Amino acid sequence: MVKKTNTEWLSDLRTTGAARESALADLRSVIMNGLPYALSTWLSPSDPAFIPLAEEVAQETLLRVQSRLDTFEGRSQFTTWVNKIAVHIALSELRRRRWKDVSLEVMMEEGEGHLAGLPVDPAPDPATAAERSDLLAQIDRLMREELTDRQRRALDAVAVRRLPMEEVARRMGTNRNALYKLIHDARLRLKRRMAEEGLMPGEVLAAFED
Amino acid sequence: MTSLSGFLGWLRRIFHRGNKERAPAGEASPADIARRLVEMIKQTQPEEFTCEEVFAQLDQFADALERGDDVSALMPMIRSHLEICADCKEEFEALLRMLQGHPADPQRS
Repeated sequence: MVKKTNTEWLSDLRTTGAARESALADLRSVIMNGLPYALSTWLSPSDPAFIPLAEEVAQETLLRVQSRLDTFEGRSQFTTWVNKIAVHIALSELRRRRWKDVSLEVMMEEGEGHLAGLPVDPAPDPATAAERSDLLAQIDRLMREELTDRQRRALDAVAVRRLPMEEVARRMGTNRNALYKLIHDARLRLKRRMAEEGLMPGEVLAAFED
Repeated sequence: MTSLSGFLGWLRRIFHRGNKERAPAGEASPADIARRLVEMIKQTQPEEFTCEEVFAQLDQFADALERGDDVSALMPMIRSHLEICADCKEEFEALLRMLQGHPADPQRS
């Protein structure tokens, strides 16, 4: 494991010649050594796709690090900052690849009434099943009444279907930050409305505990 | 909450109810989906960091956690965002694995 201080990293990367090239090579090693752990939930290092992806991520990370070197504020380990960038690039690419052939329509499946239309889990008793079904219907009604179509689809995609935000944002013609703000506003509206209707989140969660 | 393991365990309790990690709606049970949605609503705050704001500080947050700092007190809005945003949480956990040199726990993947 390469051990340098932040000052040493920055100094070497801001210089030219052999010192800079050596620093870049060291940084590449840091990234390549760490990616198997970072991506362990997605891809095994023994998968044939792993090395090409890791090489691509390392290359892109080094480019981005060099172009954004002046944004490093020194509030963390330099290698942590670099690894953060590498993880973001890697996971963005893996999510893009997983969903690249999936259209917006398939992703969203026109999800109006999605919660209410789902079959209720087997519950301990009929009364509990009925309570859960009723709660799902109430939440679904609040979503229909309180949210815009765009908000409802975004919340459905991200919160219900667990689709990656970047992929949903791209298909909705927006970006991840704007999508987050859209969903935040939706959550605030639902939280307020649930309180008005006496639907306390803690009590709803308790109703779905097994 | 100061220990790393304690923080990660707390995050898992938030996101892994029903043990359904990023399962599409067709695979997660309705109870899991309802819990997920209502948990997000419950955690919602009037002011929240965006993903970009969290990304800007994620390295600081990860290093602080590794040192055993009380991140809940120091960076509460980062913590709150990670409670809600599965994508940022996934990147954060990947970064931690990189820093610690540990793969994901197969029982929790």
